[in-house]
Amino acid sequence: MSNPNPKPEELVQIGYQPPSKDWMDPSVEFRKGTFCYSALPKNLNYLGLPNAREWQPFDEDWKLPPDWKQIILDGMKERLEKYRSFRLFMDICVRCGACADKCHFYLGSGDPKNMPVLRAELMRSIYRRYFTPAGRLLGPLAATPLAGGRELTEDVVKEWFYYFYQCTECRRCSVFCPYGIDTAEITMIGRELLNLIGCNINWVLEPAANCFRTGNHLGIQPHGFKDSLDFAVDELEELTGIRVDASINRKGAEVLFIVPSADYFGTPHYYTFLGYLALLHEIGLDYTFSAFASEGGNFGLFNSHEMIKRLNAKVYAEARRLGVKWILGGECGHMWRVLHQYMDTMNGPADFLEAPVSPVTGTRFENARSTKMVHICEFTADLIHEGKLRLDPARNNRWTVTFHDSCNPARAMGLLEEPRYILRSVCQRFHEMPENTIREQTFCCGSGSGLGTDENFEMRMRGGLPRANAVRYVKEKYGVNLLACICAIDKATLPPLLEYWVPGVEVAGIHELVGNALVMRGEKPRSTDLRGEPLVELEAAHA
Amino acid sequence: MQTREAIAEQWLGRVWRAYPSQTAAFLAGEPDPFRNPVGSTLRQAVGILLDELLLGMDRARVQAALDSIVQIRAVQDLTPRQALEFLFELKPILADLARRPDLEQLDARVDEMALMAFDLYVQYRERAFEARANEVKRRVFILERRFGARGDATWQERGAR
Ligand code: SF4
Ligand code: SF4
Repeated sequence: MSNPNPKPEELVQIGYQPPSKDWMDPSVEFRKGTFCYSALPKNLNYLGLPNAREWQPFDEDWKLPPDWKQIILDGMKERLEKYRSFRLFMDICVRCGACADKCHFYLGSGDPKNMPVLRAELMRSIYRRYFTPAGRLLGPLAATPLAGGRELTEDVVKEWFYYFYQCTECRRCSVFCPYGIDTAEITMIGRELLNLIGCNINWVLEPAANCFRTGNHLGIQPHGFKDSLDFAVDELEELTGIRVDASINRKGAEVLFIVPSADYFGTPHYYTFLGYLALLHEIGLDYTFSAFASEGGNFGLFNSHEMIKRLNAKVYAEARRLGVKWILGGECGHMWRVLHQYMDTMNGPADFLEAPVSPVTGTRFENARSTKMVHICEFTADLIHEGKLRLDPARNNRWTVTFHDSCNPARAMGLLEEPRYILRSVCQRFHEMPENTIREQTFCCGSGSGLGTDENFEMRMRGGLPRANAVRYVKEKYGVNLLACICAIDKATLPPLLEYWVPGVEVAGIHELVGNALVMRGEKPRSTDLRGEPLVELEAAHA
Repeated sequence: MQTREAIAEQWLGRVWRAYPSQTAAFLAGEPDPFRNPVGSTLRQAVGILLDELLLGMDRARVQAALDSIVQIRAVQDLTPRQALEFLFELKPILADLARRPDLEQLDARVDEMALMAFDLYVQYRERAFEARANEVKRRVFILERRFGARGDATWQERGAR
């Protein structure tokens, strides 16, 4: 054994050069609990993607097409030409290490290849070998640790699969990079390239295929969507005594409302859905759902740029068909990344729509002038700010709340203040988590970008540890028992994360809390919240 | 006291060495508990375990410290054996530093801790399993409430073999 007892100063000598022996050996072990299963052939076929076959990551033979290597290199060449950012990211990293300890997967797993700089290096080493003058000149000689290049082998493909599906594309690392290198974009390109040879995961492709067929991830057909909506309307009536009107495919409505489909199927999402229905009824918004654009989420984002575009097209198409003026969007994470950063250039301009104006307050949403789509938190914050809602925050007294900034609304949209403003208005006890774990620096749930599968559970617990750790802190310090968030994936994946790391803290959407606090005209005296749980009086209220 | 610090540093050194070298440096060096949850949890818990080992062996404190370590290691890339090895790594360190009569008692205490850690390990593996199962139920909450559990495979279940 080497020195069993290194001094701290010896330990702290870290280099962000890839460790040479690791690079000579790209092999990875696919241990159960740490990777996602492959996509079923029927889903590839449905989406017209290449190399549909039965295989699993732990198989020795991945049944790659015979010319797989050429396909990857051609695909890389094409993308280097098409995306200037990609070439730049390949060239300019100085290995300063500022990003190294910023990835939640690195912090939770300790695996050095989860340092963003090394994750990108998995791709960069191939770039150096095949696409730089030195690499081309030296040929295989460039494939030495010194030259920083590597041969593209099947083991490299497996390694890419392992680590590019171990990045949630959360972009936390990019916040710290002095050059603005966005490792999430490198991961996205990595997944696109893997896709060209049929190496994809089912959790991404099945929702994408469903979405393509029925308009939502679960493959719910229009009548199923209507049944769910009717069910929610009935339940809301039981809870509040008010029957709201929620229409589907109603032509001529002023606003098209699009939510992630989990809102009307999963829990705790569903209570947020009830909250939307109550709110939009109370303010009398003239809105409709679409049975085809019945899903705001877009798993194309986790697959390829082409797929984003295909799945997103329904949003504007339905807005046009129904003749609405503008679009309102529900609480979702990656949905908003797509709407905010891609939709306009991919499927716009939507000049048949109008710049969104709130019919209740008259506020013009200048930020959405181009996309014509407003986030419900912006919309609601404006309503509260203009004094249009009657709110009784005491109805949320059961909860001591903290807020998790979901990666996409926070880092991709800068939606930081609106959710907090709403929370402070609808509940009485709100406490922030530590500064370096929220807002732009928020820690990912560890399960985004299609990695929230059952079989990947252990890896998700590792990746979610930094988030859970900060939740535990506010639980112990302030007695926090509710983590509010505005992302459908968070609402699905934070409950098991907290069940493992911080039992006793639940998860809710912001509009669930809005729905609880909202005093509706003509409502019956409320004895329960939207979950059907009795309202709690704070002790201070009696004193 | 000299001895306690010496043992703590040696023990931590061995704990870090279970991780790759770059990571070990980070875990050992970054003091912010939010930037470095694993390192700071391990450091704190190891300190408590050592205090209790040398002093009163307060079961509640030992339990809490072991809990925080095992909770992490039960989902890291470690076999059960590797996950709990850190306790046994204490033995050679103690053997070098402690006097004979003390050593037997210390050894027995380490063994007791190991048994407690084993219980915790199993408990956390079970908790992970339950959390997985509950997650699947939550996904189709409304379907189940509307129709009762009809056993229709959901897309997630169909997808994941
Ligand atoms: S984008 Fe997020 S998950 Fe991916 S490397 Fe950066 S910090 Fe890690
Ligand atoms: S912070 Fe930017 S430049 Fe520095 S190592 Fe990371 S990616 Fe490279």
